[in-house]
Amino acid sequence: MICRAVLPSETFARKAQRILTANGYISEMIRITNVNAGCGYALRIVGKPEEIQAILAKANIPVRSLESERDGL
Amino acid sequence: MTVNFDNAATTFPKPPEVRLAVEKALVRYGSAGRGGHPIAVRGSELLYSARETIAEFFGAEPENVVFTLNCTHALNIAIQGIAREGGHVIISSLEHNSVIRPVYALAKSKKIQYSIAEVSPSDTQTLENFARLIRPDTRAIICMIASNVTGQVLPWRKIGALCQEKKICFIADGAQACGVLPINLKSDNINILCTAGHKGLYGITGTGLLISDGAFAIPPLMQGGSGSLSSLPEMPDFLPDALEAGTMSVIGAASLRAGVNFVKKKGIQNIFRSETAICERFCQRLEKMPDVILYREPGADYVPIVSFNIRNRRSEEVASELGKQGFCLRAGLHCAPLAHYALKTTEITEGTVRFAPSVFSGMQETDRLCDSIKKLV
Repeated sequence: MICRAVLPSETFARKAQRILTANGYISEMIRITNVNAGCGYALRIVGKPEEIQAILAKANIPVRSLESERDGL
Repeated sequence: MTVNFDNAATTFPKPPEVRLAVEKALVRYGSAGRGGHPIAVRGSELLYSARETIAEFFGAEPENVVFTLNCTHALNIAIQGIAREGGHVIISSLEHNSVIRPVYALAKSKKIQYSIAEVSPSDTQTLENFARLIRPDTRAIICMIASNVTGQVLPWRKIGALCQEKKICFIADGAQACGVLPINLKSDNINILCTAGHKGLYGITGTGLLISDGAFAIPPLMQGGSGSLSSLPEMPDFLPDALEAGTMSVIGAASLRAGVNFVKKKGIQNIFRSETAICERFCQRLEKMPDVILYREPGADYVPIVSFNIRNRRSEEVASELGKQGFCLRAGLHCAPLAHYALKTTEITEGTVRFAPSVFSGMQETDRLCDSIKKLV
């Protein structure tokens, strides 16, 4: 399963990526532009949203949205 | 051949690792956090890596490391941000203009009130002097960890503990301490550490740092592009974006990352020991010269900086004579008039001559400098 986590900044996206990598998750950072929110960064992660949510919450990483890519589509 | 003993202003020369990092950054990295193409992504990765290195070094989180232009810039963000809602702040009697001037400007415009705590050779007395000035509306203690004039170390950990106890913000100016003293935000109870990148951290000029523990929100001093939440008219409220308006210096960050790694590799204690040994040698030689005044007090601790004067001679004149012989030392007030009023060095000598070695300074050149000073006495 691939899910997408939208982070508030490039710094938080990189921090999240480091933490997820340390926990054995593969991820890719992508830049996103949303007319309402402006430029931002997201991670495409191979993993289950609830597991990823828990890891990022434990590390105090603010996540703007987190959903599986199928749900998002 | 010129020998630099003005490393308290800017370390020179820089380590080969820093020079290489700058060269590499020039040909490899684009703007960070401003695009998704390969050159920008490389820049972003480097910038984040620099934040990680610095955060680990100072006991902070990477997102709380804010890159600034210099220590003055960082202090202005911190002071004007924390004091925005008014109240009272306390500074020390040795402060640099980078603290005095923003505090004075805020006081002049009636936004804040401030008090000055006298620094004594005794840490206990200094701490008491700070504690005595705390009022119910005191928002922050803003003070240097070490004086840029005499090198005297203030009891920064005790001041941090006092601030923690009284729930007020501790803004520490680490310009002369970072790279020679072990500074850690968590264990030292520092809420905001401001420092230069181009001094003891061996980065290039145009680099500085504001590092927060996240306990006190700091409103931005400048507004502009942050590469995040761009459709909003306000700055983001999270660090580092809130305080980093405009394109960051990736080259500066690369130099600072290399500089901090250099300091880590050498070891802070080793750097402190070797530079202190040079200062002790310098003091021992100068103590034997009857017309030389050394500004050191028994019982006080010092970073590797020594201020001196030749009796009845202007400090600038002495530095100029030494400069002609290839020795670079800074004279005058060192942008810290309060310290010179305390030392009573504002009159005849018009300041002091400051000796500040770096990790690249040696005993031989220190001895040659002492020989030259002896000829001037």
